[in-house]
Amino acid sequence: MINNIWSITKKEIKLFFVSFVAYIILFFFLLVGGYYFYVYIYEVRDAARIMPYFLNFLGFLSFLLTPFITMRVFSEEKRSGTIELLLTSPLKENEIVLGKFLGTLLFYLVYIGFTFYYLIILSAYGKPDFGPIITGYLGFIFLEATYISVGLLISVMTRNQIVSGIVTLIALLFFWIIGWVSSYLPGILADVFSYLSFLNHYEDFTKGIIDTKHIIYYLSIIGLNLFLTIRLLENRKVVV
Amino acid sequence: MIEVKNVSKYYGKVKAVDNISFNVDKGEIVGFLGPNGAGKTTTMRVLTGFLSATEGSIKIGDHDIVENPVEAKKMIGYLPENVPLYFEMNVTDYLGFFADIKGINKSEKSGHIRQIIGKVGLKKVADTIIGKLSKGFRQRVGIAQALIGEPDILILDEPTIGLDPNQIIEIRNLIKELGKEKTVILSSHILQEVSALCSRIIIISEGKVVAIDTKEDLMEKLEVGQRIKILTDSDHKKVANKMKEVKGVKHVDLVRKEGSLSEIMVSSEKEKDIRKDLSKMMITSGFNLLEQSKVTMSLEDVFIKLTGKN
Repeated sequence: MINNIWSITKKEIKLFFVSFVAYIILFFFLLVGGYYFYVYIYEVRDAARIMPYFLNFLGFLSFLLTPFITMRVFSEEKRSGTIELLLTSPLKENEIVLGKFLGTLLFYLVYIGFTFYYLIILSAYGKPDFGPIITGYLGFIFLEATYISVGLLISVMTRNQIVSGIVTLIALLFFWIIGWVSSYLPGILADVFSYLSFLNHYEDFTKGIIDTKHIIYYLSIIGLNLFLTIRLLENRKVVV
Repeated sequence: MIEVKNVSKYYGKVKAVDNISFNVDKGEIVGFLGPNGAGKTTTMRVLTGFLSATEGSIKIGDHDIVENPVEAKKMIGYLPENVPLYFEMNVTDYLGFFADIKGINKSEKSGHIRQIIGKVGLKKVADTIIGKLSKGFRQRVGIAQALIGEPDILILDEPTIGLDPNQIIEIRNLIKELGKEKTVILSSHILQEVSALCSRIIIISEGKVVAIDTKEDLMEKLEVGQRIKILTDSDHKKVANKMKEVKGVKHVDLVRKEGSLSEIMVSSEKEKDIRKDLSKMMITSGFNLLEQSKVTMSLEDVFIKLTGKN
C-alpha cells in the first residue's frame, strides 16, 4: 500500500519537474510573492507581524495558482491514455489517487520552500515571531491540500486540461467569494457561508492558533473530495 | 490460463461485446481478428480489468478479475491500443516506474529492466526521452512495459498498427519470440498478420464471436485458394475459355472492361499455385499479358465466407 502510493507520488513529482508549465507558475509565484513581501515590509514595518500577513496573502495567491498545477494530474493521463496503464497495473484506485494527491502537495510545497528565503531575510534584520509563522505554515499545508483535493476531483472528470484548470479556478473562487460576501449577509446564511469558506478557517492559523475545529474542517473537505475522486475512478465512466 | 464465460459489455444501451466465451491455454498465441469497431479493444479492456463486464465472468489463472483484480492483473502484461506513454520520461525511468508499481524488488529492479531493454532491442535509446523516439521504438517501449514483472500473459492490442513495413516485420518477430515462453493474445484487423503469428484465431464481428479455430482448420474452412488478377487487351471471351482449361483453375470472372482492356479474376483450387501455368498459357496462346498479380484475401472476404452475408 505505502510502497505503491509512494511510487505514484515519485512519478508525479518527476513529471511536474519536467513540465514547462510548472516553471512558468514558479516564475509567477516568485514574482508576485516577492512583490507582496516587499509591499508588506513597507506597509507593516514590524518584522514580527510581516510573515502572518504574507502567509495570508499566500493562501490567496495559491488558490489562483493551484488550478494550473492540478489541471494536468488526471486530465493528461486520460487524454494520453496512460490512465489505462495505471488502472490495469496491480494498483488499487485509492493508491493511485492518494499517490497523486501526495505528489501534487509535495511538489507545491517546493514552491513554498522558496518563501523560507523571506524568513531568513526577516531574521537578519529583525525579530520575526516564529510561533504564528510555524502555525501559519501548518495551516497553509491544510489549505493547499484542500485546494489540491478540489483540483483532483475536477481533473478526474475531464480529459481537457484547460477545462480542468478553469473549472477548478471557478470552484475555488466560489469558496473564496462566499467567505467574502458572508459579512454582508444576514443571520444564518452568513454563518453557513463563512463556515464553508476555505480561507476563513486559515486565518486563525496565521494568528498562531491551532484549533482542532479548523483541522477537522479541512480534513473532512479533503477526505470527501478524495473519496469522490476514488469512486469516480473506480466507476470508470469518467475514464472511457 | 484465461477463461472467458458469457461476457457481455454495454456502453449505455449499445452492446459492444455480446455473450463471448472462449478459453486460452498456457503457451498459446491467440489472435483476435475483426474489423474496426468489432469489439476487439473492448474485449481486451475487459480481460485486463480496465473495464468491467456487464455480464459474465473472466478468470485469469486462478483469479477472477472482478473478485481478485490485483492478483489477476499481476499475471498480465498489457499493451493498449495506440501505445500510451509518458513522453517526458526517458525509457529507463519509464520502465522503472512500471517496475515500481508492479512490485519489483529494489535489488532486482535495474537488472530486470536492463534484461528487458536488451530483449526488445532498446539498448541504443535507453536514456532517450520517449517523446523523441520513432513510432517503432515507442511500440517497443510499450511492449517492454508489458514485459515488466515477467507476467505469464501478454495482451497486445493492435501491436503493429501505424508502423512502416520494416517495423511491422521487426515487431512480429519480437512477438513470435515472446510467444515461445508466454501466453499471448493479440488483436489485429489484418488476416495475414494473425495467420502468420497465431496458432488459434478468434474471429469477432459486431461484438459476437463468429469463429474460433486453429489456423489450419480456419484456412480449410475458408478454402483459401489463389486469386490472380490478369490484365489483357486480347478478346476476353477467348482468354477466359483458354484459362478454364488450365489445371487447377476453379473460377474465371471478368471484373472490369474498359475499351479493349479487360481485367480478369482467376481463382484456383485449394493450395494450388497456378501462376506459372497461367502466364505460360497466355503467352503460348498468343494473348497479350499486360499484368498479372496475386490478390490476397481481405478480411471482408473472410467475413462473407464465414457468415454468409455481405
